[in-house]
Amino acid sequence: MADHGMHDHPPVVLEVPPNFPVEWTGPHDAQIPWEQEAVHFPEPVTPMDYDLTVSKITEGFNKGTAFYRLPMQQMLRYLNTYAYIANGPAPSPEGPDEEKLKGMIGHLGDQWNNVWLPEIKKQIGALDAFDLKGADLPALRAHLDVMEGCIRQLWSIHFQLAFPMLMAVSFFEEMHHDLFAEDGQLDAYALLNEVDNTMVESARALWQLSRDALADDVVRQVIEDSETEQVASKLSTTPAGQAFLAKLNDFLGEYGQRIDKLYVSFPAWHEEPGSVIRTLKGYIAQTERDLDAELTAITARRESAIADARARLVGYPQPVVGEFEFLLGAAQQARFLKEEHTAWLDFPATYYARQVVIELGRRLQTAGVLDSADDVFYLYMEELRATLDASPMPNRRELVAGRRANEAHFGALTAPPRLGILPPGPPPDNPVIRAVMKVFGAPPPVSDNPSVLLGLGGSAGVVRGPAKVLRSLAEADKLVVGDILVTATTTPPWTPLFANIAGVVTDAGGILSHPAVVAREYGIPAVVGTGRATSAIVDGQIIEVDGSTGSVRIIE
Amino acid sequence: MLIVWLDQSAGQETALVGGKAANLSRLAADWPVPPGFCLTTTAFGQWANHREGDPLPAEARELVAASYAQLAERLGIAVPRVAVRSSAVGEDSQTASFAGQYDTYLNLEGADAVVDAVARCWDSARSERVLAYHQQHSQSVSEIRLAVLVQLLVAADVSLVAFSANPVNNNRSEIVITASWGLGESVVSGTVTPDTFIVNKETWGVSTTIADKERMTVIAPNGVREVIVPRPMRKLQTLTDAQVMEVAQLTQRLETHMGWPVDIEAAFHGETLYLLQCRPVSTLADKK
Repeated sequence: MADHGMHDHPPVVLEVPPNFPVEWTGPHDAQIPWEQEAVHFPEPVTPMDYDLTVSKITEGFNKGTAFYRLPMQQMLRYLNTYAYIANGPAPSPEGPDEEKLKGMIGHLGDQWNNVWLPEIKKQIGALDAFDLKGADLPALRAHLDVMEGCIRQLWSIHFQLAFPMLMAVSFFEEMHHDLFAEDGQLDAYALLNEVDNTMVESARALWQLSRDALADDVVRQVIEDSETEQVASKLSTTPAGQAFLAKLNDFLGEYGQRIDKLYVSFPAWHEEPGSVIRTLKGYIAQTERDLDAELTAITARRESAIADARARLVGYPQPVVGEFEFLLGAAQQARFLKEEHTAWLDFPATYYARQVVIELGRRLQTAGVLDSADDVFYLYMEELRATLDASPMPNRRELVAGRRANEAHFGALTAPPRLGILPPGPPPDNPVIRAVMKVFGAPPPVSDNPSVLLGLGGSAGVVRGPAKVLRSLAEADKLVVGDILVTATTTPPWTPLFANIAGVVTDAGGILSHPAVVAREYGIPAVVGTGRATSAIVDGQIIEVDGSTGSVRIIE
Repeated sequence: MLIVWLDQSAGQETALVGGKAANLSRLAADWPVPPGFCLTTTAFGQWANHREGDPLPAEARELVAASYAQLAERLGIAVPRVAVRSSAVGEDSQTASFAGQYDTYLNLEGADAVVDAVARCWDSARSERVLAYHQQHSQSVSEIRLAVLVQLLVAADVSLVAFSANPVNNNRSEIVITASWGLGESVVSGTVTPDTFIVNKETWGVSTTIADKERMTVIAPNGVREVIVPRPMRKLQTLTDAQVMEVAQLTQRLETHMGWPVDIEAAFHGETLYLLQCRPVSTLADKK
């Protein structure tokens, strides 16, 4: 039974799944809307991941909101090896620091080049300069604390950057949409496409390697036919292969500190080049494609979209054109930094933390405290410190074994996407919150019709069919072909399901959220970010989903 | 004379250029009125009544085109945007507004478009509703004396209406200015809630109310259109404090010059304030 969006109603308390027993640490935790942080940490995180990455991210987020006086905060819990967050309101009696935000938004490039990047290089420099192999244990022990301070600082800078960066894009998108209402929702992004950042550079470099491989039959054959783990050793048997290996190592020398995911417990490319080789195999299979031409074409299309927008604004009030140009410039800088910052913040923070910790792990393995070096990730920082500081160092094997087993157990099941309560309603609507919430999903519009839910049109088209409300992937058996999926949110493990459904409606998510993106790929209608579809719609109800207007009508 | 420019003294003759243009011409002498020219009532009388073929015969077309080219040269703009407006004798008197009975075409570029618009003005001077209006006012059709005004269209950043006396409470010591983004159509027609600035003539203190300005009229291909105001601009103050003063001073000087309370329309484009219209306030209780 649908309700008007803004009415107070008792929060929907979520049942804790029997296979996921929760021990709340805070007194009000059960009344908070927790969300599994599936965007960055869909899989179990080790204690060291939690201490050095996940909690540093939350800390950084909250320092960032304080820095800009944003009325929001993030809370974090570590439940059965999974990270759960709750983004909620926080008091900001003076209101957001609009001046500081506008200043940052208007000078992102300068701020990056002149303030943030030098500070980042200082932090990374300190970590890079330390000789891990050559240090004795007391020196390493001291460096552990230095490292944690650097990581903390890097994530702090990350969120000083993230909020204005997010807002620049969001404000530009809103401006573009207001000016060109007849355009498609994603058309604003065409003016921002950007291919001259470090991430694309690495893709270009790898692509070049693939062209080099294609130029030599022997090399090509080896890469195509060998198992990923065998490629390097097979290449080393021929002169051509050795020459190619040298180039590959150059690539790894440049980009080898990247990791597939932000887990300190996961090896970097230069430690484990498997994912690079896998990508290379994929590139080699595309013999006719010209990636460089495609990237050049993206830039050309962007310039054309910008020229087109400017032509349409000729004769408009100059203050309006001025604001458009200001936000366009800011959004372009933001778009560049959106990719670029991960190469300087997210990945190095994870990489250097890993290097220090695993070196300590090696020492502990040698000392018999751990069975293997990467067992060290199953200790918390405090435990690692306590272990190193004790004399003699206590054996940690049993503790680690228990934690590994725990992770294996909970890693095998699907973590509930939500715990505690469902979000009680949309957050307050102002431009700052709107921008930030685009990451987590926009507040749903209020519907004045009780049988209509409003959200964001994520994928165009209209479909009518029976709704199935899924609280987790575990309930996927409920679906039959032609059903419309109604759920809180979807993440990559849900992708295969999309081939079997006629449409999708979610509580959370914005235009660039997973359900919207995948729905567009499969060509099925999607409405995301309705707020409470899972509480307003009941299994079996016939609903009509209009992914163009962003509305869901309960037909009954 | 077949063509008269607003800044020529002949432009002030109502019988020649109609009430609307004559009014503007009188203003053009001393105030920043956008330049323009009229195809006069003489031309209308000479050419409009032959029913065969073109409502606007070739000689008239050439004359309009040549004048448009001259306007371009004067402005230093290759293809000026203009408004083409009917200006009839009998409009805009002291006691009533005849506004709305005749045609207005906004944002025409190029001689061809301008000439076509002039032709349409002549054509519709003979239309049903105009005939009906004149019947109501006991005038015969052959007495229609129509001029057509071709005037630079200001692609306004901010348009405003200003009264040199508060029209709501008749307070003659208050200047009331309402302003919004874009061309004046949205302000005048009331589709947008504008910013309001009330200026006290004695103290020159200003009381400002910023509105949530949702719509604006902007230049569009071959015309103008009303669009939504982008979110960042909606609650932004349209006139700077300095501009408010500039408008208040213009309004007061006009009242003094005219000798009666004025209702003006004006627009800013960049740094320049243009006067678009100036009428007596027709709703004030006491008359001249």
